[in-house]
Amino acid sequence: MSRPDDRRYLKSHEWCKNEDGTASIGITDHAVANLSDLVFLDLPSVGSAVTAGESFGEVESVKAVSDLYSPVSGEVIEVNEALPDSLDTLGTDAFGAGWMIKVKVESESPDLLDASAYDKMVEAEG
Amino acid sequence: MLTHAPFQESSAETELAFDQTLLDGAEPAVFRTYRFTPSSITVGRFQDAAAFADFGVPIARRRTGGGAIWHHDECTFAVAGDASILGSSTDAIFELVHGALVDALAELGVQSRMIGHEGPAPHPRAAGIDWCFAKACRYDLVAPDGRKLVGGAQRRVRRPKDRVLIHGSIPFSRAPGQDFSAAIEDQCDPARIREELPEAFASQLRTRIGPTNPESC
Repeated sequence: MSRPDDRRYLKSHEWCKNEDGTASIGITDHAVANLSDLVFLDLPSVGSAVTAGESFGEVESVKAVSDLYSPVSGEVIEVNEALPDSLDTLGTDAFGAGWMIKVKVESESPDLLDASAYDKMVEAEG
Repeated sequence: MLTHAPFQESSAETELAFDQTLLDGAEPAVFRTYRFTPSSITVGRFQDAAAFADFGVPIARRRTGGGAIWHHDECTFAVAGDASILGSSTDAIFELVHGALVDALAELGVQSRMIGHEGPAPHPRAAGIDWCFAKACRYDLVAPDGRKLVGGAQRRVRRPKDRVLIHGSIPFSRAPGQDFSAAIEDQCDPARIREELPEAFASQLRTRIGPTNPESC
């Protein structure tokens, strides 16, 4: 499947859409499928700092907790407060309404992939 | 090759920290059994530990998910390693490790079955007292009477390397007030299972994992 080419991706399955210095961040449909049933999402608060390549939150699925990694460094300026109470949204619209945080970008991870490269990586994972 | 680490026995805090070192480490795949001494309660990553304060035993927080477990008289196990070996998805990892455990227990005369993916989804963490063994959901192991015999939980990290930890609890007898749980003593002599299960479990894991090539991991 082809994923949106208006954003970039980490190998750890987060996406990042940078518009005028503000990055919307979420996880991909592939991450959601591999995590299975999501039951809990822990996101940072507005005003906190995130660092590229480091954890910005956690998600719990079938008794499995996984870290969420930030594609950028910067300050969290908006959090999708509704998402933890409507985790089904991640299954239906991971690239849209399933956004998690918005960050005022100071720098980006050097490891970001474009959609084509990410698609190939997921395909290779099988 | 699966590394079978030595049995350990110490506080819940110490043993959970050791599990974390296995997750953070470089072994392609490692298995161990251990025991919390003294008897302790562990709570899942997002549970309220204060709700369990009245039980009068030490409480430690896991970095894995799921509900609270009273580790009383049991075999506690952990498997950690590269996701490329243990499985790329949460479901695949449970199927590998819990599948191996079902077969190991059967070898020793303990009947159980793993609830499949069609089973009940995990319930959202309830506030207050929420025990792991009170409700079985997909990928849990249940005894023939339907009560939960094994509870397991996972932690996944993707950086610096894609690795996973799965640890779990197999009660030999029930902790106080845990009548909703199954236990090995319902079916077999716990002393024999205590002695024989670690190697039987390791052997089943080796069969499933096969030889691993560290060069490729």
